[in-house]
Amino acid sequence: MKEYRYWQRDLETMPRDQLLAFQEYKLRSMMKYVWDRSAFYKKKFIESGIHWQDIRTLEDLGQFPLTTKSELRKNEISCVEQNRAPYANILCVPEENVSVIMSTAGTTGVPILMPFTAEDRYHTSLAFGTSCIRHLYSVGIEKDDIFLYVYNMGGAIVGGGAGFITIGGCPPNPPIPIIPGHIGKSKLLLQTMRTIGVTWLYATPSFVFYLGELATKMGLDPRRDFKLRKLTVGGEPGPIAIPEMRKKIEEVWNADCYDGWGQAETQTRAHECVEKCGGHAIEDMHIYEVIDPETKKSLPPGEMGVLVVTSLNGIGAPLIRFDVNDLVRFDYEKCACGRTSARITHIRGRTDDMLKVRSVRFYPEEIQKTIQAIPESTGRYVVIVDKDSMGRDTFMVRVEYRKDVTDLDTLKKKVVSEIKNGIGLSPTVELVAEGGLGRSAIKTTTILDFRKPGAREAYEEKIKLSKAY
Amino acid sequence: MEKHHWNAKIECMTREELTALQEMKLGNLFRYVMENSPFFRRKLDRAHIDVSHPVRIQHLLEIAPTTREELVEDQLSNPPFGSFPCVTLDKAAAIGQTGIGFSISGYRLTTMATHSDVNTQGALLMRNLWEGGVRPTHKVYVADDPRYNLILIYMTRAICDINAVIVYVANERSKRNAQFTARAIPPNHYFLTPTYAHYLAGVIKQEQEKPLPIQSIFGWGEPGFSIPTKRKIIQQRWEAISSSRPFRIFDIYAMSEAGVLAGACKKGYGLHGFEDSVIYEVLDPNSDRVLDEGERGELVITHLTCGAMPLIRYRTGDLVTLDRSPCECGRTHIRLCGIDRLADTINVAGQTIFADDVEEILHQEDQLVNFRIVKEGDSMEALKVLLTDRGILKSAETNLRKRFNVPVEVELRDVNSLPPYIHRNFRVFYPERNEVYQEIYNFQSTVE
Repeated sequence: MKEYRYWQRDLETMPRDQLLAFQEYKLRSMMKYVWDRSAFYKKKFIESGIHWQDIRTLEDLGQFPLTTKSELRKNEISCVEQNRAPYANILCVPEENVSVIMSTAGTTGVPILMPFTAEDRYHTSLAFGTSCIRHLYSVGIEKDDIFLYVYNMGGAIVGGGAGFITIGGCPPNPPIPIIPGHIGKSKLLLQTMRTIGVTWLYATPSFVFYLGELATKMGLDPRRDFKLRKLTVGGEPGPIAIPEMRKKIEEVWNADCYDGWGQAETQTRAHECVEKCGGHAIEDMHIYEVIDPETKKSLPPGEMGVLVVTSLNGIGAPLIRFDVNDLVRFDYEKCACGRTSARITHIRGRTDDMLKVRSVRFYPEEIQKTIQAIPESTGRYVVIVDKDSMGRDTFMVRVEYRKDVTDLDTLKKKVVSEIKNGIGLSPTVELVAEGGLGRSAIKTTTILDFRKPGAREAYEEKIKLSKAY
Repeated sequence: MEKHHWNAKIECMTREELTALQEMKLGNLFRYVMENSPFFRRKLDRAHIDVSHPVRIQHLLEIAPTTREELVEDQLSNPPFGSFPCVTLDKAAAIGQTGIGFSISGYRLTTMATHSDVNTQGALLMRNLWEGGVRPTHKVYVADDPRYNLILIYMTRAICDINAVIVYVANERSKRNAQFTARAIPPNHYFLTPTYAHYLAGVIKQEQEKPLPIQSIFGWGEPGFSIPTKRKIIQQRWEAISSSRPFRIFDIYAMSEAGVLAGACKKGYGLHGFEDSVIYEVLDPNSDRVLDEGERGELVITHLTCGAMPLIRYRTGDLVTLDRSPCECGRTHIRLCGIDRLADTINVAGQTIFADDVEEILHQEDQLVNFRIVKEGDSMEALKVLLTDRGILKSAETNLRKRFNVPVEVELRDVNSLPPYIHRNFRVFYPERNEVYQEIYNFQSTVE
């Protein structure tokens, strides 16, 4: 029988009408807060002809203009060029109140540097902030669990980022002991997991798969030779976006896997509960809207659209109507676990991840789902889009097959057929033996679009750098 | 007026006050471990320590020193933490492991810290940070990776408590961080290993047009800042990218299992210990004989304020000379001088040669790219060094022979067989352990 646990029961199971009223109450405070303190948002208010007092309800919020990543980036660059802190315009507190600065991963361009106060970290998904603890507690973390955190991409916020490492300075102190890990030196990591008896692993799905494979190569059985009982994954598309992935992870490790979706700039997250039916949004701390990617208008509940998030708790640099750029769908039905927050049930990926090949539009996640569902594949693939000598789009998918597969001809035909059925476009398929596509611990590259200017050179440089080690 | 010391009341205590404080804390420690640590209770019982009576420093000397091998054996017999910790898992805030490089058996000790330990260690580090010029609102770039290493957690506590700002960049994406982050948030200080300091300075030089306002760097994790030639090279590389004068380098001596043990002051002679938290002794490396101040021996430490895993008369495996003479900085706490790793000493033709001294000679070669000092067995007939640059083979051999007056063999190796470490320098090469090291330290990063 499933056990339902709540870190903050009152907030997590608040009746929906009360929750929405609570959001509106906090929204009004936040509007005044950024009006008074944020040069960036004061300007937005004025330019859009809105006063903070005009935003009283969730519906009113729709009038306020979106905040985009490119705006934040432009703002950052402009501040730096003026020899000011990159977050100077968005900062709502005196600079001496900034306690930690962390960056986004920068996978879509220049990283955004985000300032956090000590109070921010209390609430956020960083370092066992409240929203992080809710997740772990809801899926069963216990005082005697040994929690290994393995992220850190140059200090980026990915997966909660260095927040886990800065627990030294962060209230509240974590309720469970943490082993601060790091990607890389994976054999050492596996040794650590066995020696100490790690029961809980927090990493990206890519790394979790990679560790499983490596353990097997080392002659270990991930299912028997480790004490892992649960995994929480995040930092890149996981089981919420690609349900087929969960079974594979759980089979590898013989441990329950729970996904968490997070967003670095707003520090919001949505986490699965034991029901594993989507990620519960933290609606007492953020407002989530789903808007039409073209018209930017709010969509009715249950429709797929672009996620927009507004911070209700942020102190250092709260963001208002931040366009997350992910295409999502929410389910607003109360979950069997008793939580009343909306659940993200579908994540299609970033709007700018959409590919258009020979007039067919599709998202990489659609390919990923297809590949993950083919039992003969390891789940790894790369899509390579290019132009031929006649200037026509070419579309190739390289797929890794499991080492026990022998009938490659049949498999190839299957992959072509499944992808065509999925997205309406036939690819050229190349099969690659298991391991042949390399491994990445984090943010696996799956799309190579060489039609974009500079893309081929950037890729070749990356390969050169990775070999230089 | 700004204070010179973070905590002058403690850092400048008289010797009498320090001794009294130590004895008071030692008594508390004995009672604490008697109650909570079966491992240390046995040791205290064997030494007939009666905790109901006032405790003196001399009583400590009656307890047999604790070796790492003892702790390893204890953890192997009582996995995973052993019977020496004083707390159970539910009281732990963080768990770490020691590095493989420093364990003869290859086994890494599992370490633990309570929330109180994090506070205590942070408070000790604050003394070092203050001495190194860290002030409220300063941007401290934490450029090390946390890999099972609790020191980083303590460092971030210290930075927060001084109200400086942590900019966590780890030791990856050096170019990206140097290109953009350092420009956007100009760093005032860095916390990193000496090896990475050497590397990063070059990356920053390439990426930044103007010098940065970096006032100091704090190094830990390996010898480096204490090797004069290497330190000079690092100093020069950082002065070339820093607009601050003076630019300073501060060494922090810490061990994963023992926490922070000492830190440099501006005067630069030796590293000041924290005698309100640790008792320092030196022993003859080959016996339990206590050596006098000024004699070089193996550092032995006793924690006075540790909650999770207090260590009593723990043989650190490091060679030091202790110095209690007055320091111009005003601190009265003992200084640890000439720290070197016992495990890195090599017996060549009957002579003990320290790896630091070998490094000091090698760093005089401008073209030095990479090197390893070979250690095979308990004794070798010649000092053997592996280098990757043909151009310095002759001069390196000559200089080493001159310095140590022993046979020297210098071997040229392909640069790919000795890839440069950019994060940490494992300078001593054990041929019999090579396979283990190759496997475990095979870098798999995709983010540099």
